[in-house]
Amino acid sequence: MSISKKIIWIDDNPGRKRTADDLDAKFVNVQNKDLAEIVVELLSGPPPPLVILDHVLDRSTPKNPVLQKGSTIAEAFKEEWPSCPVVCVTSGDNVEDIDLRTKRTYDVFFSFQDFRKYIDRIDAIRKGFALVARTKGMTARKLVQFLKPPKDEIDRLVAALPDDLKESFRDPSVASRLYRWIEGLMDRPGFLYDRLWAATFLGLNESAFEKVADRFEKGQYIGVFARDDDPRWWSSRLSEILYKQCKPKTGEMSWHVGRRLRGIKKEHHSRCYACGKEFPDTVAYLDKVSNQQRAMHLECTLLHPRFQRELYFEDIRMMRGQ
Amino acid sequence: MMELSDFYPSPSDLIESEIAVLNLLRTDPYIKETHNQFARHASAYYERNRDGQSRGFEFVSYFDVWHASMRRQKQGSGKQGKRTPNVRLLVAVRIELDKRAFSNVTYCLTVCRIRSGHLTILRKFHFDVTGGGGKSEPRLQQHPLCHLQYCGEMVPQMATMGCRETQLNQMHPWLSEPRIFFWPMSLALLIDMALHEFPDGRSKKFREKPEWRGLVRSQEALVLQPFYKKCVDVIGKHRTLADEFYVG
Repeated sequence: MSISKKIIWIDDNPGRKRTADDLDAKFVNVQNKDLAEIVVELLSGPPPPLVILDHVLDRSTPKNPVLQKGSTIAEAFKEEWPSCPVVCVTSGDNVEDIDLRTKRTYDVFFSFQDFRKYIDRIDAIRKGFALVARTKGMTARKLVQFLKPPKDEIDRLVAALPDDLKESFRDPSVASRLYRWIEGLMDRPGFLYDRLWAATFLGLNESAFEKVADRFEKGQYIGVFARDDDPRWWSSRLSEILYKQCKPKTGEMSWHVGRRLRGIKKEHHSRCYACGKEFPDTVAYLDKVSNQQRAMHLECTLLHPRFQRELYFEDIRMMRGQ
Repeated sequence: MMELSDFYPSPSDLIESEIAVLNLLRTDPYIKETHNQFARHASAYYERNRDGQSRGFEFVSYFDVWHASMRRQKQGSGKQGKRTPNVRLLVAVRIELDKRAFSNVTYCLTVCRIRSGHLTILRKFHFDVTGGGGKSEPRLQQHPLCHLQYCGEMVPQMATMGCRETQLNQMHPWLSEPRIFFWPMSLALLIDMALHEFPDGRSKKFREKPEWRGLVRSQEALVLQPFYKKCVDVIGKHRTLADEFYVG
C-alpha cells in the first residue's frame, strides 16, 4: 500500500492553515463543505503518515452534530487506516467537556493554544507509527526494543507489557496500542523519571538538576515517541551514570551520592516540601486534588487514593495531612 | 589451614547471586504490596550493586510485621482485621572486597520492637565470614572462618531508623565472643529464615513461590553445599571441625 507523504489536517477554521503549513501538512478546509464527501474521498486514497483533526467541525455541512465531530471522523479513519496516527486538536475551552472515551478515539489530544510546542512531539508520533508499521515479524521483545532501553531493563519491560501487546502483533493497531503504553510509561515513574523525579533521585532540586543534566545525557529516553519538550530519563541509567562519577560510600543512597557531583553546592540540595528536612526520597502530590508535585520524604507521604499500586512502577503518593 | 575458597564461592559468584535476589525482591508482588519500603530499597541497592562487583555489595532494609507473641500490643488490629506491625526485622548485608578478594562478609538480622517514635532492639545477630583479603588485623584469639555472633556493633542505618545505641550498649557489643561456628549465610537464606520465624498472612505463600524457592535453592547450592561437603570431609578424616575451620 502506498503512503502519502503529507500529514493531513482537517479543520473548519481556515485560520489554522498557517500552523498546518509550519508542519508541512496538507490543510483540508471543510468550512461550508460537505465533510462526509471529503472524508470518503480521502479514504479512497493512500493513508497519510498522520491525520490531525479538529474535534468540533460544526462549520462544515451537512448540519448534523453527530457527523460534525472529529471523533466520528477519527473512527472512520482508524477503521480504514488502523496504523495511521490520529491527532486531535481543539480549542482550549472545550477540552474539559469531552469525555474520556471520546478522547481515546484519537491517539493523542492537544489544545490548539499550545499546539506549536507539540510540533516536535507530533513528528515523533509520525515517525514512531511509521517505524512500527514497517517492522516485520513483530515480537514482544522487538516492541520493547523500540524504546532503546538499557539492556538490563528489557526483561522487566517485556513483563510489564500489557497483555494485548504481548500478542496480537499482526493487528495493525499495534502502533496505537504501543503509543498509549509508552505514554503511560512516561507518565508513571518507574522505568522512566521526569525532571523532578530525576532531580530528587540525585538529591538535588530541579534547577540544580539542569546544571548536571548534560552529564546524564546518555540516560535520557530517546526511544520511539520521545518527548523532546518534556524529557524522561531511564532510572537505571541515572544510577549507573551517577555511580560511575561518584562511588557510593557505605550506607549512601543515590540522593546522598548525587550531592557530591562536581559543582553542586548546598543551595542545590533537595529538601522535603512537607518537613523541610534534607534527603527527600520520593515525589508526591500536595493533596488528592492537586496536580502539583514536590520532593518529599516517604514518611511524609501516603498512598494517593486515586492511583493503584503497579508492580514495576513507583507508588503515586500525596503529602500526609497534619 | 583451611582457605576460604575451599568451601566458599568466589566474590563475583556470590555478589552475582545476591544481585539476583535483589532483582526478584524489587518486583515481587508480595514484597511490593506488603513491604513496599523493602521493595524500594531492593530496587535502589540493586542499581547500586549491579555494576560494582569490584566494590563489593551492600544492602540494608527492613520488614515491619505483626508478631503474635509480642505482648505489648493488646489492640493490634487495624482496619479489616489487619494487624498493626509491632516488630521490625532489619536485614543488612555487607560484602567487603580488597583486591577482588573477600575481606569481610557480614549478614545481620536485628529484631526490634516498634514503639511510637523509636525502636527497641530485642535481638541482634551477625553471620560473618572472615576473608583472607586485605590487611589482616592481629587477632587476640582464633575464630571460626564462618560464625554467628550475638549482638555486634550498630549497623549505621539503624540509628536513622530510630534505634538507640544506648540499648545496644546493654548487650555489650564490644564483646565479640563467643563466635559460634555456623554455616555461611546469604541474603535469600536470611530473608527466608526471617519470614519463616516471623510470618505474616502472605509470607508463607511468598516463600512457597517457585521463583523464590529457586533462589533459595540456588543459594543453598552456592553457599551451603560446598560448606557441608567440606564438613563431611573433615569429619571423615578424623579431624575436628574446630581443627579445620578456626583460623588465627
